[in-house]
Amino acid sequence: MKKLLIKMMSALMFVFVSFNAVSADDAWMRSYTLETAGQYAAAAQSIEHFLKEIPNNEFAVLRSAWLYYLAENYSRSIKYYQTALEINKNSIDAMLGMSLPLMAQARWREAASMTQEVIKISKWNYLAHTRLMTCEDNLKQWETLKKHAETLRVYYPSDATILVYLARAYSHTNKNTKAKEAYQQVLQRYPGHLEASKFLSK
Amino acid sequence: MKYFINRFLIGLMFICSSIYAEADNNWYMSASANINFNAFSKSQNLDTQTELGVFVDADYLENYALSAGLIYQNQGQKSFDNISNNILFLGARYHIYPESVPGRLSLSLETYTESENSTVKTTRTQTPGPGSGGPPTVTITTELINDSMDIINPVISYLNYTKTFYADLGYTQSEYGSTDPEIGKLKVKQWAPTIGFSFNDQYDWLQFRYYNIELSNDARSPGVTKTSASEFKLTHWLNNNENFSFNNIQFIMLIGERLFAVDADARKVYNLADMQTSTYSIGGNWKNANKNEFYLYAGVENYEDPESNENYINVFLYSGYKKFW
Repeated sequence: MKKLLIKMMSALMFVFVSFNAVSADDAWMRSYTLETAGQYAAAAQSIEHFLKEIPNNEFAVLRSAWLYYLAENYSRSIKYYQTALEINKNSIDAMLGMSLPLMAQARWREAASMTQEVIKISKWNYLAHTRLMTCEDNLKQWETLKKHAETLRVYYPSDATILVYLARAYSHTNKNTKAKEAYQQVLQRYPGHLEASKFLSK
Repeated sequence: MKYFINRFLIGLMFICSSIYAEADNNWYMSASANINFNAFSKSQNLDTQTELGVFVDADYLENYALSAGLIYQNQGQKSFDNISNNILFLGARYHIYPESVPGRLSLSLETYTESENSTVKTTRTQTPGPGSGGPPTVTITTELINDSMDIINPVISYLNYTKTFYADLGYTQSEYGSTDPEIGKLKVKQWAPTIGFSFNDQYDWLQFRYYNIELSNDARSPGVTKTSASEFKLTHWLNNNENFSFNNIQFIMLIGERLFAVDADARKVYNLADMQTSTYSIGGNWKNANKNEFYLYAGVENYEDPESNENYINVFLYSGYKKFW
């Protein structure tokens, strides 16, 4: 009788755990489906209950932050990324993620500061450097951008984005010959690039 | 002057201590120096006015900012010796990014203080003419008034994230004190709502500001208790990448009547006791890649003395240099 009871309890627990797992899987699945359909706020709401159950659920916090960024609710997205950084202060995901809503709010200095934090941890992180260059471009820090892009091109010689920033920086610092050379290299990597073609046709 | 330099230095020390307290590289500093030269024609009293301004601004990322400045005014008079005034400027701004609107809200508070302001007051006396129907005799006298000036200017503003739309509501309360009980204090309340937007792929910006000014003391502004004026600013940016290139050109037009106004954009106090009836100006700035900026504006302002109904013109030249770090 005792054995039978233990087996029945085990079977019930298995059913309960499986049901919860399926339910959780469903919620994540629904969130991804809604994201694919462009319903970003609804996608974030579909995983909200995970945060109510465990507020420090790092992945749920990061995903909510990302979805609110896509939903163009930048301030809420930033709050979630800040929570993610409180949970894990070394999270490169959170730092790089947070740079996106900051840039969308034209908070270029704050976004630059965030990407610099990433660079402290991961010295040649491509995303951090390219986003930092976007900030330097918008802050019109041409001398800084020029030096930054000159250094980066050594580490990423085939990259067109770095060359575009380098060409812009040369152009704004009166180095037109160098700007032309950089834009020509952009066209080799990205034939038909609009900005490069326009500059070279002048 | 010593008092203002001390206060200015205290303001600077406050900015520096704030920077030190946040010991990181997140402070963005700028300093500017400007000169504004005014030449008056057809004015009974005024000859020239020169203004020198020095400002320091410190922004902590895009979160808040502190400012301090000192403005020195020297007014050349036809009937008196030159008048000198020193104005201390202090300001603070705080930016908020609410979820409910797709843009930034900013709260700012600026103050202008002057302990010994000097202005010229014109008095018009009319006595009946001799006999019946004879022309009255009009006597215009001018006197120098020593007073103080305290201005407080809170502004709430909104700028959308794409920087294509701007709106603000500024309130300014100015108090011109006086040691002469016959003249008394003057309180000026100014409401200045502003709206601005970009067009032509953000190469152009049009801004409209409406000034509504109420004055409390008839003895200081004879017959005038309320004035209103409209100001239009059109800015065109040039797509010019050359070093120290012409960055933008701006046209400013003001129509209506403005007395004891405060222009928060230009950080300028119009403390002349005469009615400003119009302004037309043109200017621009030059920038280089090393974060140097030079600006130059020229314009004409028309004034009317409310007491004598005399109209006069001010031709001004405003130039400055700003360095960003």
